[in-house]
Amino acid sequence: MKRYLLGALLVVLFVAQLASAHHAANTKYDETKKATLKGTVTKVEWMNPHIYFYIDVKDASGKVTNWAIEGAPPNVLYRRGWGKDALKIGDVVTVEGFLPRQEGLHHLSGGNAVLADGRKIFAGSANGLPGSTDF
Amino acid sequence: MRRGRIRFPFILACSVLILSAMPASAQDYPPSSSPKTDSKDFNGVWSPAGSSIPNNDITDHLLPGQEISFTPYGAQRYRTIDHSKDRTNTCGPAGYMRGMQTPLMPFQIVQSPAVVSINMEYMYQFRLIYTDGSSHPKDIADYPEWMGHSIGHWEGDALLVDAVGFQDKTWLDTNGLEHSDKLHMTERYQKTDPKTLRWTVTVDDPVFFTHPFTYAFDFKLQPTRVLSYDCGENEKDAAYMKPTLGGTHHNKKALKFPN
Repeated sequence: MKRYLLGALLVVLFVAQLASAHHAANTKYDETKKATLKGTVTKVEWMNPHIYFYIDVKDASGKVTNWAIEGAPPNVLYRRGWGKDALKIGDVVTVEGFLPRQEGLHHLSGGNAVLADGRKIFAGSANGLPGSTDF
Repeated sequence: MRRGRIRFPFILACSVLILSAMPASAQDYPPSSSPKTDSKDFNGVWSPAGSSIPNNDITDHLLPGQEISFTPYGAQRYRTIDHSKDRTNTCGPAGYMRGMQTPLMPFQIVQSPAVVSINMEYMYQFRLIYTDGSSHPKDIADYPEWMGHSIGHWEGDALLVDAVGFQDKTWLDTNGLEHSDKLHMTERYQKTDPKTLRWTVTVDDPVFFTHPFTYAFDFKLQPTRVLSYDCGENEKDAAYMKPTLGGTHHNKKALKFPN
């Protein structure tokens, strides 16, 4: 786990809220384990109750691991103006979030992503928190 | 934002049921969420105001001077509540409290003289409030409902609702506030302006709380429609949840425990 993360994790400078509309997110994720991953999008699942997208992350030794990134509910993203094609396969993104409580599980909660050109994806509210109702 | 027709099966079913029972004049209500000037017209899509965080913590909404005072049994349940066993983790009913209080997911009120239907996007739930003079069913305690049984009447431009007959498995909020099947909810719905519907709720449950408490949400009219929601469509969390004990309310001062 640590080996994978060394090459991929960056210092996280934001304060984020675990993305969960319908249950306490800290049952799965650890609010003390903030992380940032950079990788290439391999798949997007635009589905309830939360979207997932997947990125290939390369560690310092060149080993590639596919991570599942859990985001906000698609209905919320839609109302913020983001559609299912906002994130495309092949995009290189940096995503911020929280690691799971279960060791070895390659999931990340959060879903706030920044494209290589600096455009923010799925960060619908000014403070970067998921769940804005300011349509 | 596009505005679409109501097209989802349960809302449609409710609407057909309601419309079939409505006098012709009442069917002239506008179908979408444009602001209403009629203070007794609650039709439209609503969502809690002022929160950007997906949280419906009741302690953040208590009226001044209100507290949540636990019985010994209620306190024991509060301290040992396990969030990994929240029924919504496996897509069970959330109850209308969480359905209406969750800021991410709006609800649509469809109103007739005889019944007010609250159709919630969250967990795709609906609730019927009978305003035709009905009483609670005599056997409601033997056949409790996930949404309870709700009857309402008008006092001026306020809709007053009385709800009993709840299943004891739903929570009052996502932060782990439980209730028993003795729960008695008293609600007041009143517009404070054409785009704001104030919902004031008194919770009375002598099994969990030593005395009733009252909280309120302001719902804002939303320029959106209720979207489809299937909790189980791509559920990937439940399998990885760990036991997480104890209520998680922000305002600890509002919680009173027995000595």
